[in-house]
Amino acid sequence: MIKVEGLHKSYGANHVLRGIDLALEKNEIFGLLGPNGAGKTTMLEIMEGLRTREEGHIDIMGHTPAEAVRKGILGVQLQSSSLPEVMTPLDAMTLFCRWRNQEVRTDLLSRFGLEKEMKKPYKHLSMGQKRRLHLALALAHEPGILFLDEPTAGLDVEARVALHEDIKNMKKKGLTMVLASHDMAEVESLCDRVGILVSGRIKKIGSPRAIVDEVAGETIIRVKLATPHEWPVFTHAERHGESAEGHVEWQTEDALEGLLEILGHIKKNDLALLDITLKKQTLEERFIAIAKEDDAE
Amino acid sequence: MKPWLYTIYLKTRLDWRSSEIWITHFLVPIIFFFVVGAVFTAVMPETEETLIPTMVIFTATMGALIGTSGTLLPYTETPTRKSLKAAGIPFSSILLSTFVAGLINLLIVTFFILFVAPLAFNAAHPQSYAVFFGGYFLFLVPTLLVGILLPLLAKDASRLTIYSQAVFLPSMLLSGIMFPFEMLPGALSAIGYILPATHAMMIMTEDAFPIVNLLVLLGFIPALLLLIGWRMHRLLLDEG
Repeated sequence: MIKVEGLHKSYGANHVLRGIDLALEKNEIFGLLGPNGAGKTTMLEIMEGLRTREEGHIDIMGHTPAEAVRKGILGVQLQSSSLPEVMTPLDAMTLFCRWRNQEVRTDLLSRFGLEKEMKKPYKHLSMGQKRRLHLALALAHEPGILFLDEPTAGLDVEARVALHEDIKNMKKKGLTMVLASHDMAEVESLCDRVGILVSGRIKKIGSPRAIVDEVAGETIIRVKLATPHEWPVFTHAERHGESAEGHVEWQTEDALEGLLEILGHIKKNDLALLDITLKKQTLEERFIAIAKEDDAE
Repeated sequence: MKPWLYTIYLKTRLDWRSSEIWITHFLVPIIFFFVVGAVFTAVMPETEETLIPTMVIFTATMGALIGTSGTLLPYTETPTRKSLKAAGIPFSSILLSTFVAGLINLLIVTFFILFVAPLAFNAAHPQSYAVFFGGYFLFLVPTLLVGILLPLLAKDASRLTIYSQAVFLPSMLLSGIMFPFEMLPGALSAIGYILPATHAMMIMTEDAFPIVNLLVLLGFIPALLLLIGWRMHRLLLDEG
């Protein structure tokens, strides 16, 4: 559906994108993660036809990004969208729909909870209302592909949950989405695949679970006993540290063997166990590790 | 309604919702017209001869350079520009609608002045309405184009104010609408000569088209369109 090959982009001496290759399937939600300055917005904006590229090829259903915009294949919610202060949501929706030669989609304004704000000037809308308006505008022409750049930034919890529901519903309707976000939980829960962009290159790509699982030693076993104890060295679990709450932590490549070894020791010594937990590495921790690997390189 | 027509219609409506437009296109020019009309014609009766061209030039200059340019600025800011581009709305449609909206507003005030000035202040009618309106349009078009060019050059409201004033004040002081152009010292009259308002004043107070002034005003139009095209291309080529 979308194919990106060898994408390069510089701003002067700053080489922002250093050869991006990416292929997106139909009805997929693809998450783009990356630290600030990694090139996420630049990459998205090139794919959206808003920026030029120095090298590389982008194919969006057989079209260039600019053609895809003209043909209404793309819907775009930008990280920092704006409209003139005196423009109302109804004015904006009418303008956007006129340029797509279609009926004015007031139903979308209602669907995104802007029914009462239809005639309110843009300057009087809240941050959440503005975000929802731009999402409604991006969807007005029923695009096949939707780009969402930090869609929940600045939203309160309620608005964030509502937007997540909207994104899930849009996927059910067959939309393909590209989502750039700093919110790991959001990406982990919404995206089918994730690309981690670091220093202008996609360092990892795959499902959020696969990215987390591909690293060895990601399971942390945390144990809390009723009394202090001198722990031995285990074969399958390496001592990781101690938490402020008194949990002793081990890191293990083989969660089952490590757990059995620790539990065996507890039983053998008749220790009073207060708490034991297994913790898998989260996407956020994995993301930080990948970003740090790049810094080290 | 065709998208281009709707964009013009919407921009005109949005302008009418803007207090800035009411002040710069309507209130200040009309108040200034009444003050100048009442005071100047009483103190210097010969002002009656030039009251109409003076006031319509003032109205167009203020409206285009301060009002129209101000209403375009929000559309030139990156987030709005990108939002429109991503929706497939050509930026040229915004520029065209800004031009037409400005034209409509300024024509309304011009007709008001033309109608009221002779009745209220005994102002002289134009010697030739054909020459008057010919000169007026040849002046209004480049002036509005300058009003469109300035926000494309300025990066923010404070710079736009400086740029607007840098054109507005010389247009008022050096074009012959406040003082006779012939009285200006050489250097100032040279500056005045490159301002559209100067040539408009020369045309609108004559009964025949002075060919040099006509050509100068005509020359402004392609030059300004080229500059606008260049700035628009620079803005839209790459947002970085």
